[in-house]
Amino acid sequence: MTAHANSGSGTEARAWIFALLAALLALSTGAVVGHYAQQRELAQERSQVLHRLSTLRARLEGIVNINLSLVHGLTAVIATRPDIDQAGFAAIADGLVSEPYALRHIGAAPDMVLSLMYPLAGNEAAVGLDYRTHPQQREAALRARDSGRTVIAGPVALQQGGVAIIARKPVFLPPAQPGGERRFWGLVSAAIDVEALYRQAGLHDPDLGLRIALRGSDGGGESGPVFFGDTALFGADPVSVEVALPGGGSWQMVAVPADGWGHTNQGALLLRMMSFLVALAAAIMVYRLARAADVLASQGARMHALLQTIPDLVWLKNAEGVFLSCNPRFEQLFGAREADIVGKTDHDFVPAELADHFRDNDHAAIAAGGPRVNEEWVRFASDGHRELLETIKTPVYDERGGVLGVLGIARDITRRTLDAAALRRQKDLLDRTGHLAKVGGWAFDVATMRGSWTDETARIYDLEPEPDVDVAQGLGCFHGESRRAIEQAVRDAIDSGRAYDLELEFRSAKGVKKWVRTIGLPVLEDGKVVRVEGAIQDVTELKLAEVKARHGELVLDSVFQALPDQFFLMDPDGTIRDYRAQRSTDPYLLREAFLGKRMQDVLPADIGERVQSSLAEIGERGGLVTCEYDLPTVDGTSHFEARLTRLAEEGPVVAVVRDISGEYRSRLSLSASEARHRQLFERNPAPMLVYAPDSLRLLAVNEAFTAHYRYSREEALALNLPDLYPPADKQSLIDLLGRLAGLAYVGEWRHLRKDGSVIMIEARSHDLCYEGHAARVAVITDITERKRMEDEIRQLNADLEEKVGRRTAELAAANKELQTFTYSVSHDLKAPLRGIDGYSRLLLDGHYAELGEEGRLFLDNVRRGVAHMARLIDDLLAYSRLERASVHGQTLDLSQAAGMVLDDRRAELQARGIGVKIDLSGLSACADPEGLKMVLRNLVDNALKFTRDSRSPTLAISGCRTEKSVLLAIKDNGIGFDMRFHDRIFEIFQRLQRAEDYPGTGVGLAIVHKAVQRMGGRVWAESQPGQGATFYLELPR
Amino acid sequence: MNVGTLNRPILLVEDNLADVDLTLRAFARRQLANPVQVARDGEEAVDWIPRWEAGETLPLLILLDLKLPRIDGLEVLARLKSHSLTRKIPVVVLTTSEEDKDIESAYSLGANSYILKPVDFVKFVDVAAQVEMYWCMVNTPPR
Repeated sequence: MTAHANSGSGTEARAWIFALLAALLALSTGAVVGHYAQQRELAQERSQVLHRLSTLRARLEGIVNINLSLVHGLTAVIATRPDIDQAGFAAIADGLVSEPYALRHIGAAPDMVLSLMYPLAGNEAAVGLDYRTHPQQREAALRARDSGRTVIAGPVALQQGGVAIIARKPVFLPPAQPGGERRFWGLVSAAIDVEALYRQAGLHDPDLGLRIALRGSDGGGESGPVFFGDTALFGADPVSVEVALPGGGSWQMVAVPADGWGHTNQGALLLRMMSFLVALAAAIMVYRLARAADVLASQGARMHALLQTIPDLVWLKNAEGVFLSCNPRFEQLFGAREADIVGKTDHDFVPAELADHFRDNDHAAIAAGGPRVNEEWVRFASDGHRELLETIKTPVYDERGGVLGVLGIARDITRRTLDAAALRRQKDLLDRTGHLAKVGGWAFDVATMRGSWTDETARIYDLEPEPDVDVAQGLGCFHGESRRAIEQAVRDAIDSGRAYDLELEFRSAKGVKKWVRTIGLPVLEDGKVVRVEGAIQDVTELKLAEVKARHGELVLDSVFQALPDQFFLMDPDGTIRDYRAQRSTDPYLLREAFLGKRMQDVLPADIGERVQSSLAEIGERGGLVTCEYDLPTVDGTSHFEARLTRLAEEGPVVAVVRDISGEYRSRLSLSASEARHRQLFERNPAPMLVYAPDSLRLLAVNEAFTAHYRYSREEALALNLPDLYPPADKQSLIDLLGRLAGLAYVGEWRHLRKDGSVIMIEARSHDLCYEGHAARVAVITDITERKRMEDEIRQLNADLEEKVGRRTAELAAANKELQTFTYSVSHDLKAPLRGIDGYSRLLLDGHYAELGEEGRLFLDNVRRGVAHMARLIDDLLAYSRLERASVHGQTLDLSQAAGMVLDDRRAELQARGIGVKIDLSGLSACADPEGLKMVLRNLVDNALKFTRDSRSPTLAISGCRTEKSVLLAIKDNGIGFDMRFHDRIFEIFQRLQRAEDYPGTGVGLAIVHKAVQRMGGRVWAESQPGQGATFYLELPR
Repeated sequence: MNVGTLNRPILLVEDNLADVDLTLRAFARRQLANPVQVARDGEEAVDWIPRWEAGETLPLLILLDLKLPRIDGLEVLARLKSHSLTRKIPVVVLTTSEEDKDIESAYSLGANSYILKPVDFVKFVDVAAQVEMYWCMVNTPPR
């Protein structure tokens, strides 16, 4: 302004500058502006668009949510009044379907049939609709029912006209019994008018400057169909945001600037680029004015005025760095008038280093062929203040493309940077302190129900910090009771402006259970809550510590419930600070009876004194002091033991008091029993001693010991245990003693008495506690006499054995003699028999006539006698042979053995027509083959002999198997015998019949008996005279 | 019939005179042609060995009782069977002993037959006849 007023040459110079500027801009509008915008501002433009779009999104979501929360309120009412009728429904819905909201109508479908509607007028057609069968609405309705969540459908065209979004919300009734399952009631559906929604959200705002499109009908997100705006926008490189819908669906909303990218004239961008655009506008106008010289002056004046007043520095240098022009703000930098600056260079005004820096930037802009931006701190020469300048340097070309110079525009960004830096610092500080205190901040707008939170809040939630947060997200971490409490509190804050301060349990995004204290402060504008600000603090540790402390106290209590002790915590002077014990009904033992009083004072005086001295003792030297006393209790008198110790020097004293009455009584009776035991020891008739297992010293001996060992008591107590043993036995004694601990012992030893005589003793010993020390007691029995008698018996036994041996040998010899005798006798007896028989026969043959009838009869009798004698001798020999024979047991088939014997007698059996029956199949016995044959033969012969006179003689041999043996029965129907003679029939030479009736030697059954005996079996018979006889044989198997 | 055997004697070793007589009578009843020499005890029996060595005719058969005075029958048997000259002479043990031990020992020592002497004279004659028939007529003695 001053320059313009001052000189005409200045006006001409400025006109030149403007012309130059105009030429520059005419030539390089595309190059400069387009390039600049693309390079520097396009991103910012997108960011601006995103910002606007986010606002729109917040509004959209907010409006949908508000409308749904109205419906939510309605469902809550229904849940308490499931039998609500149309009138009741209308009364509630009335407040909801009104101008401020976008709700067109609300319906309710108990059991999925739409039967309640508000307003009814105009919507009558919809009443009676069954969602379960409706072709279009069925799917969404079932989804709402089955998922239990709100489902957003549409936008859909309504039959009644208009387009609406339908929100369907399932209604559940509380469980019939606590812990039961909630019951499905039906659906509530609400139609949100989309035009009202768009209008309220501001999508139709004429100043929006954005072209908007929405897609994702039915919450289908980016894959759903477009339902608002131009589909083409989705292909025009739009900015995109997701509109979250209740129930999990979403819409995609996109925007591009109203004039397309790079043509923005938005206010914000305008401001941002103000200095540059002002220059641009000026240049264009100047250029036009230059062409229309007549208006140049007046227009130039306006431009000049603009340049004079803008807060930015504007200057122009030629290619060599010589200033061509500048504005007044620039003059301040150099502290010189424009007139003095023009024609000079940077070196004339700033230090060479800075001047070179400026020139380097000029050259860089020329070299780049486009604008260069840099930030630098500069000091103003006018008043010395410093500013941070954002400088844009743009090369200026002539018509032929030659470089004319560099245009510079600089703007003070000090404040902006300072603000940002301060803000950042402040935020950092807040975050840091917040983090330390685990306190996070947050705020949200009531209109959008969205807001922001600090990093610490995000950290408490275990979420990534983000600038834009949904309130629902914040509440999502609360569950159950906590959720109800926080929702109520937030509602109250919004509706009634009531602040809240709650401590609640919540679960972070990572599922970590925490305790948080959350404080909400509603912020009012025009009497309406517009925002809620607050803080959240992680108090988990505090809470846990509290819980822990409470648990600790409980544990401590239960410990003392379990312990029989009383526990006192006292000051050094005895003042009771804490008392713990089992809960007692004894008023004397109530906590209140002790707390704050001195221990000495609550006890009877005499005991109090002792406690006092115990306390004094502890005060002096610490350690543990024990004190016992009797106290009257509800049960009579009890004996207590108090153990006192201090926790630290000068510190509190702990007393643990225990009722040891039982122990005390047993201790008293113990000493009585000890006396009895001592009596028992002393007066015991058996010698007894007590010795120490380690030193082997005798600790005690009784009267019997001193008497028996002939030591005096004093002499005995000077002995070690081994002194009682002969030298040869000492080592084995010591070996034994080392192994005795814990064991009872009985053993025989030799002992020495004082006079050196040796006695045999039996010692019984075991551990005992003798006067508080480990010891062993031994009871001694003198077994010398017993031993002597035992030895005598042993000797007698030995003698007896020898005698028996001798006799046995003699017997064997005699036996042998007998055998030889038998042998010889039989042999020698037979020879004369043969002579008698032979000569009798010769006499009969040779002298038949001379002998006469009677002589011949005599000789026959002689020969019969000889034959009998010979049989007797043979049988006797057989019998004796059997006695001497060795028996070879082997398994024999009885059927076969009996068969062989009967075969030998076949002729006689057949001749006499004896019925024979053998039933021994499969039976076998362990026997000597010859022995068995002999037995069977004799028994069969016996049967044959005694059935001689039977009318139809029979012989039956049968058998059976028993556990270890085989039993045979040989049965005949002969004359039998009287059982009186049973045993005699098996004796040798015993006969029951006269020889002339039944010839025989009386040896047969003896042979049977002997043979069976030798084979380890048994034989016996059963019979009655005239009833036949059965002989039984039992043989091993 | 083997002519070479007719004149060879039979040696009867038997201490009991009645038995000797009865045996001889039994043989006589069978008209036995061979002469019978009698040794009355074991010693007499073994005394025959030097005489045979000296060239006297070896007996066709020796009938040997076991229970003999002086030298026991089994001992006599052992000597006969251990001498090269007499080893081949058939020895028939004729005894009243039915002892297993005696039977076993007799065969072990090389007895050619073991026959029990029956008490019954009729049976005895029968046995004697069978012995004579077999050993003197059926059997071919060593030469």
